[in-house]
Formats: sequence, structure tokens, C-alpha cells
Amino acid sequence: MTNHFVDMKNADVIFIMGSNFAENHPVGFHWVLEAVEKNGATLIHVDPRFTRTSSVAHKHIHVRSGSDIAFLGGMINYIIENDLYDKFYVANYTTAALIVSDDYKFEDGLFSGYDDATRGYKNESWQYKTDKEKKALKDPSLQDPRCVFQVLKQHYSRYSLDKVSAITGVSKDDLIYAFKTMGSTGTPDRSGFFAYAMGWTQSSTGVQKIRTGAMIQLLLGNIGLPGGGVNALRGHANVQGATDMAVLYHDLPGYLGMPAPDHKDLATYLDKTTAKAGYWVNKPNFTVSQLKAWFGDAATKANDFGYDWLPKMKGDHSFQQAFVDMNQGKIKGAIFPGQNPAVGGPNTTLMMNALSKLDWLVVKDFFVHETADFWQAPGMDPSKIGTEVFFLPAATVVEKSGSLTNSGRWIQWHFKSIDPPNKDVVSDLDFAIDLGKRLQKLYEGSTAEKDKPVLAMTLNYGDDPDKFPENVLKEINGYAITDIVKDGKVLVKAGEQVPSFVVLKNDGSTACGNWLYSGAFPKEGVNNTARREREKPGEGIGANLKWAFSWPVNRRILYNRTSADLDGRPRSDRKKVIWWDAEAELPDGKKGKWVGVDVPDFKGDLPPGTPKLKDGPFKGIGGNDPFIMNTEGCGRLFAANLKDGPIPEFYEPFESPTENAICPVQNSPVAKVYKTPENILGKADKFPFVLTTYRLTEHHLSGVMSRNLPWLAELMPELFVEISLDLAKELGLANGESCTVETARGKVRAKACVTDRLKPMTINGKKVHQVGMPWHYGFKGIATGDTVNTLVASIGDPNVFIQESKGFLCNVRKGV
Amino acid sequence: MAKMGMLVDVTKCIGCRSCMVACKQWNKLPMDKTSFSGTYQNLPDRTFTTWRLVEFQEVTERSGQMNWHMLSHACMHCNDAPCVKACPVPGAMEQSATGYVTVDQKKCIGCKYCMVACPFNIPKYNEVSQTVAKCTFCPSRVENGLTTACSKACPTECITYGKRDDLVAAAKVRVAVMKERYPNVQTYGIDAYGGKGTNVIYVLKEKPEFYGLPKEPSTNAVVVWKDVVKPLTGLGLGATIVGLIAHAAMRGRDDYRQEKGEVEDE
Repeated sequence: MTNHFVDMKNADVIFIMGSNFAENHPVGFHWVLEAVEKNGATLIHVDPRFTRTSSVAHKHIHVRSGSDIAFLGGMINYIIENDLYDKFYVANYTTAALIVSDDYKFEDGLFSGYDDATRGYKNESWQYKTDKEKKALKDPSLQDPRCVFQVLKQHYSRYSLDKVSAITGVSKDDLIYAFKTMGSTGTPDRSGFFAYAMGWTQSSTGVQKIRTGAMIQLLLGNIGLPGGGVNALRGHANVQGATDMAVLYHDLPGYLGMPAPDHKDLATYLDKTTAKAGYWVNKPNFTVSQLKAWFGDAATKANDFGYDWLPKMKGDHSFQQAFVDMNQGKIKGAIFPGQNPAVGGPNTTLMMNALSKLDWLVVKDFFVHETADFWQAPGMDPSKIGTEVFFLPAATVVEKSGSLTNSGRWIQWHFKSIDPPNKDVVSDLDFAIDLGKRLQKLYEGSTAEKDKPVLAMTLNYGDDPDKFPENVLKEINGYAITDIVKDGKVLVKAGEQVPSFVVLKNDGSTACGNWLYSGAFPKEGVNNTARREREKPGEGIGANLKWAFSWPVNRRILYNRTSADLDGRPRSDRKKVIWWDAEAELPDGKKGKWVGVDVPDFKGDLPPGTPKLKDGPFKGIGGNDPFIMNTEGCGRLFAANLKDGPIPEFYEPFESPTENAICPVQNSPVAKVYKTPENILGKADKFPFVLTTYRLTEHHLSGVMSRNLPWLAELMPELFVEISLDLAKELGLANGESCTVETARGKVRAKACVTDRLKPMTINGKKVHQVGMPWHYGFKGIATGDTVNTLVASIGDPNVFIQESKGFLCNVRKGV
Repeated sequence: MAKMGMLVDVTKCIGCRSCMVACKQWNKLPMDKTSFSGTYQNLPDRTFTTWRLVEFQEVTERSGQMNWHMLSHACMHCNDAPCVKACPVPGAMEQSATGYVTVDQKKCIGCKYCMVACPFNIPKYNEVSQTVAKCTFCPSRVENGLTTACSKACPTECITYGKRDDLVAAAKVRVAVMKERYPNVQTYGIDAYGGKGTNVIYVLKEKPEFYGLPKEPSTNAVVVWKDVVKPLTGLGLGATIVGLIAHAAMRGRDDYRQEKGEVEDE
């Protein structure tokens, strides 16, 4: 999130789309109700189904699953046409005025630079038009037909109310209601909060859906304000932490980016991947400090700080690709700590086939789940499977200390409450450290190049496992290796924790596991993530600066410089966050700094109006450039760095009941359709209904933790499929009756949940039925059921390869 | 001593059922065997081992507006509780000074008179233990400075615990605030039983009948007990004889409830 949970209470409009907030974040949802109760906020829920979130919303709008960009594009069009955008904000804090390259065009559903052969775009034509000094040209009046604002306006002019209504199935009245209500937050004294989740992400155009949301918030001037922002509701207690620490293959902790094979040395990697302006110019400090944290004394200037020991990203090694590779016998073994791909992975048949090709499999979890027992799944023949499976029991959250990072970037520490039941039950951290040390012992004395990174790893977390978590956090925070000196004074002594990433260096004198988390443990014995002091009522805007630690440097609302005008004055009293105080004293005696109710997301002593700095950590950022991480200093309405286009365009899901009505290209021309026998796509003649998959409050992800818990199993004991009254009549299905749901990939048995909360829709003139299923079930546990991912195809968004598990085609029929 | 109570404000309920799980966890209750019922509710009624139940109702208004109602319903801990009056065994069913009602599993003889007396059909019988069980108001918590388990777990403050007087005041304010959004919003239980009231009170979005709650909880059958039969027990007539007399007296009510489909013939 750019904002955070508590901040929701400041919103005037809460727009929940691609999310079932109340059911999946019941505790966080309390802040939504605060906004409604105490701030008079309007709550809108746009969802294919009427859910428990809808039951407390002022308005629920049924939308066809998969049609989000049409809806949001329509909102952009409406906002621009009806002058609802924040003119000052758009002109000054976004890239609206920049001129796009003369070579940029969008025609017949394709952006310039498309290469059929590679199914990819070259993005040279998506850059800005520059002058001789390579500086981007701009038109501050926003009139030039080639400026970003006009390009946007032109692009979304096709997204008329009529067109959008036909594509999404939403009535024009409801569209106007939604657009007008959200559009009402385009004034500086009102803010709207976008909350989204898997409904936006799990799609072949997932990233672009989120982009559209971000662009709307830039147009409305909502980014950087309390109760505003673009806010992902993460689907697991620590998935934000997992993302920050780069559990995904393509990244390094702190979003530093995995090197590619042509980044042949550290200097090349840093040169090619470090921005030339904006705060990311400091990346080398973060990268080298990270290498020092990992490899300690073995990382020296002479060996590029161990850069060669990092794996180089040759291509797509995402989850789906890994299973395709596994299925082709390319992966010999796997370790799954806290993961259950046999239920949670898209295209279960592929998951099962792939697992059975492994030589060995280690599963570490609380219960022996479907992946650990994949070889005994219904339909599997153990005599044909050669995989040796090891099951390692895992300690639960109360049996270990550690931090959890929530959707609002708050890193919150929890303390160990009880010991695990016996010595075999081990935390994932203890396992990882133990494994690392055993490998080091195994490779002891080896001179082979490939063994060097393992031998060089620092695993110095002491001898007491109960102290491991804290010691790891301390390494993540960072420490000085040699004295850090500034202006002749020792800022940080050798061996001491660093106060934040501002003191990190690229010369090997500092170590830091993740620059974003720096400040979490700034001094010996000071664990900021364990703080629990609440803001006093009436004091502040809910930032709760003394509760835990948020990244970066405890900032709660990102981009908060936008809350002030070009003179540093709050644009609105009700939405003020930081402002310039010319008289405020700095530690060095000088005067003038940004003050307010949150940590400024800005250079603290940079006066408003200052021209862009020529060098230093804020190179290229001026006193009125709130988006300090962007080279432009402004929020991007046009983004050259995405794989599928600088601005979002609506494409139909790969399995769709209709033809794309907005442009002649049916599906995303760059999304990945994985080549594997299990990945069969279906058409509407055999599979006429649109299926969306979702989660329930009572179950958690693949059900390992919830379907094994009696009190949750009894609440939601069986797999069901929600179908409308109309469809039930057509199919002759009674409520509770057994039925089969099938796609081109496979079929599952479910009970019919006949409900008026789902409705048939009219899409491009044709009646289309939507159905929905929770995806939690598997063959093990107390509450069992068929695995809904059997129905899902192996398709990936081109930027991040997330699967399209919403808005695909199925058939439903009586009987099993 | 001040009465303590709970307020269940359905305008804040999101149907998450944390209250149900918290109740089971605190009271170490086992799961019930359930199957998909056609709705999210899945458990049709409270049982000997499910004391709190969130009841779901989907209604499509004439306007086309969809409404999904949820009510977390359990023992109302009525003042001058009918079940306590009906119970023939001294100490088996007791009302504390602060107003909550508990069943002593060791003293209960399973006569089921409390079940007949309860206008909300709350106490549930178990064949094996031959006793009844229901929400206890978490004495092990409330007598130790804590709130009830369900109110603690509720993420939206739909269920709150506190002094009954404070909750009554809050409920009335809530109704005034919500009137525009929910025209039928009303409190429930404050003045039940001719003014004595229940210690668990509700803010409902619709009339009580909509939720299957009696408009006016009544204690007709129990008057016989309190005023006639119970004094007889003091005469040492013995539980069996008293029971027989009571059964005859209660028969009328039993027939009525059978007719309404509320109880099955034993």
C-alpha cells in the first residue's frame, strides 16, 4: 500500500474493487467502518459477486469478472471529460506535461514497437521526446496533442459509457454513480482510497489493472494524502515481508533487482540498473551493503564484493515456469516451506505431474498436506512415482519470535510464547540456518567456484536459536563495519547498528540486508518493530509513528509531499500531512525543514521551489518533486518500463465469452501462455459461463491451516459453486445439489449454492452467466473437497507471470 | 451490583464468525459434523457444542436491492431468567448478581424444562451427558477482568461487552444514527419481559420477527413453575412427582410449540 490500514479512517470514499475486503481482512476492515462512521465516507464495492463486503457497502456494483480495465478506463475518461481531475496536482506532480516520442503510437490494439516473432514490445518509442541535452520536453499548459495528458485523453476517449457498459455488464447509471463518487475526491480537501487484491492481480493484464488504478489516483490527486493512495490488500500475514525480502526469483531484497547474464560484473550491473536521477541513484550503496551482509569478510573490493556469486536471471523462472520445467524433468528436487502447490498452484494436473517427476521433495509445514502426500492424491498411481518425500514439521507463529510485515508496510514484531512440542518441530529460520551450516560443513575445503558462495555465506547469528530472529533483523537493519565518519565526527562506531540507509556506503564499509528495513533496529537493544505505543485520540491522523516500524524510515503515507503546494503550504487543512516550516531548526543550526504528522517522504531540509539538485543522494529532485523514487520526480501517467504498454488497454481474458469490443486485438499480445500438455484452453461454445475464484473468511489459502482446524472446518465444510437463481433454473439445479464444474483443463465436484447474490449479465448484447468458487479445498484434512485450481489455465501476466484465475470459462452441470 | 451485558449491533456485523470460533476455543468445544447447507450458515441451529451461531438471511428487496443480514445470536441472559425459574434443581441453573446465567453440568438432570421455558430456544440437550448447555457469558473471563471471548474476537466491534446501562445508551444512540440508512433499525431486549429486559441486547436492522426472534419474549409457562410447582418442591414431594405435575402443566405449551414446528416430539 502507499497508505496503510489505520489511514483508511481518513477517506471520504472507499472504493473496493478486485477485492473482498471484509471477508479476507476482517480485522483491517474495521478501519473502513471507522471511515464510514466517523468520516462520513461512502463505501463502494465493485465485484462480480455480492459478498459480505457488499452487505455493509453503500453500493454494490456487479461487474463482469475480467473486465476491470474497461471499467477503470471508463472512469479515466469520465474524470477527464467532466473535469473532475485535480488540475494543480496533475500539472505539477505528475508527468502529464511531458511530451512523448514522435514514434509513439497506438493503433488497432497494439502499441508501437510490437514484435510478432517474440510476442514482445521494444519500448524505445515509449520514451519521452527530448531536447539536445537529453532533457524531456514539456508543455505545462497540457494542450500539446503529444503531451502525456492529451495522449491519455485521446486513448481513453474510446471508453465511453455505452462501450464500457456493454463490455462490463454494468448499467450506465451505476457507472456514473461509481465514476462520479470516486471523481468527487478530485478536490484537494477530499481523498478516495482504492483497495484492491486478487481480483485485479490474478489476470493476464493484472499489472495494467493496477496501473489504471494508480493513474486514476494521480489524476484525482489522491496519492500522498490521508485516506488516499493505491492499496493492495495482501493475502497473507507476511507476504509483504516475503516480497520485500525478495522470495520471488526476479528480485533481491529491497527491490534491487536480480542481475542478468549480460551484467558481467558489479560495475556493469550497477551502471545498467541504477537510475540517473531520483533517490534510486543510491542503489550502489544498498547493493554493496547487501553483499557485505551476505558474504561478510569474503566480500571485498577485489572480488566485486562477491557479485559473481549471485545467480544471474536468464529468463522466466517464476512459479508457473518452474513447474513447467519440473514437469520436463529439469528440476531434480524441491523444498517447499509453507507452500502447498498441489492445491494452491494453477492447473493442478500440471502441479501433480510435475511433482511426480521430482527425485526428491522436502515439505516443511504444520500438517501433512496435499503436496506432501501428492503421490496419494486421488487418481495418482504411487507405483509409477519415484519421488522421495521428506516431511519436516514446522514451528507455528507462537512458537517463535519474528516480524510480520502487513499490507501497510508496518513491520510488527511478535515474541515467542511457547516452545514447539518437541525438538523435531523447528522454525523455518532455524531450518535455513541449520541447512546453511550443514552445507558449509559438507563443502568445507572445496575450491570449486560453485561452492564458494555457500562457503562465503555469513551465518553468524550466535549460538542461541531463540536469539536468531533478532540477530537476523539486526543484520537486515545494517551495521557499520568500520567507523562511519561525517564532517570529522564519528556517526556510527564500527560494529554498531546504523540508524537508517542514509549512512550506507558502496565501498564495503557498511553491511545491510535490506535497505528498506534499515531503521527497524537502529541501536543495540532497540527493536523498533516491537514498539506498541498508540497515537492519542485527536492527535494526528492515525500515523501511529511509535507503533512498530514502517518502511522506509517509518514513513506511513508515501509521497506525502503532494499534500503541500509549491510553497510548501498544506493544500487543505483536513488533508495536510507535511508542510514547510522555514523557522524550524536543524541539528546543524541551520533553519528550514519539512514538518507534520508523518515522516516527510522528501529531503527533510530541501525548501519548496528549489531547482532540481545536480548531485548528491537526491540528484535530479527539486523542491517540488514529490515522487523522489522516479527519475522524473513526478507520478507517472505514462510508463515505459512495463512489458505490455505505457498505458493500460483493455484486452479480454484468454478464455472469454465475447469479442473484445474496444480494439481488434482479443487478448494481451504479450501475456504468456505456457506450453505444456496440461494447458488446454477452452471456448465459449463448450464452456459458456464466466468463472471467478475467491477466498472465504473461514479458510486460508490452500486450506492447510484452516481445513485442519475443527472450528473452521465445521463452518465451511464443503466445496460449493455460487450460481444465480436464473442459471440454477436453466440447469435444473436445486440449492445444495451436487454438480460438476468443468473447464478445458479438468473438472471438480461441488454443491450448488443458488443465490441472488450472483446475477446474469448482458455483455456486448449477449446474456452471460457468472459463477464463483472458493479455491481452498484439497483431499486432505478435516474439511476436504476437490481442488478448484484443476480448472485454472497456465497463463501468466507478461510482467510478473501471475496466473489468470479470475474471469475464465467453465461449464456447470447436474450430477457428478 | 451493576448488570453487565453485551451489545450485538448487526449494522457492524460482517459475518466473519470470529465470535463462533472464539467461543469454541475458549470453552474447548468440539466441532459439530456439518455439510454444506445451501448458504454460508451451514449449522442450522445452536447445539450442545455450538453455543453461538451467526444466522444468515439473504433478501432481495422489491427495489432489486440485495441485502444480506447476519445476526450473531446466543443466550440473551434474561433478567429474572425463565430458564432459571423453570429449573427444578437448586443450583443447576443460576443467575449471577451481574445478570449472566450458567448451567452447572454436574447438577443438571436433563429434564429440559429450561428448553421449554426459553422463548429463544437456546439451551440444547445432549443424549450422552443428559444435560443441557448454552452460552455461559465466559465467567472465567468476566470474573477476572476480561471481556467475553466473542466480544474480544469481534473485529468490527459489532459485539461489545460492558455495563448494561452503558450498552443500552449506546444502542439507542446507534439507532438514531443509523435510522436514515436503515429505516427499520431498532433495539431489542432492552425492555423485554415487561421491562426487566435481557442482558444481551441487540441493534437490529429489521423487526425481530425477521430474525425469528419473538416480538415479545414471554414467560407464560414458567409462571406455573414459579408460583405453583416450585413451592411444592419445598414440600419435599420429590422431583419425579413435581416433574409429572409440571409436565402436565407444560403440555399445553409443548403442543403449541410442536405446532409451530419448534420442538420435535420426544
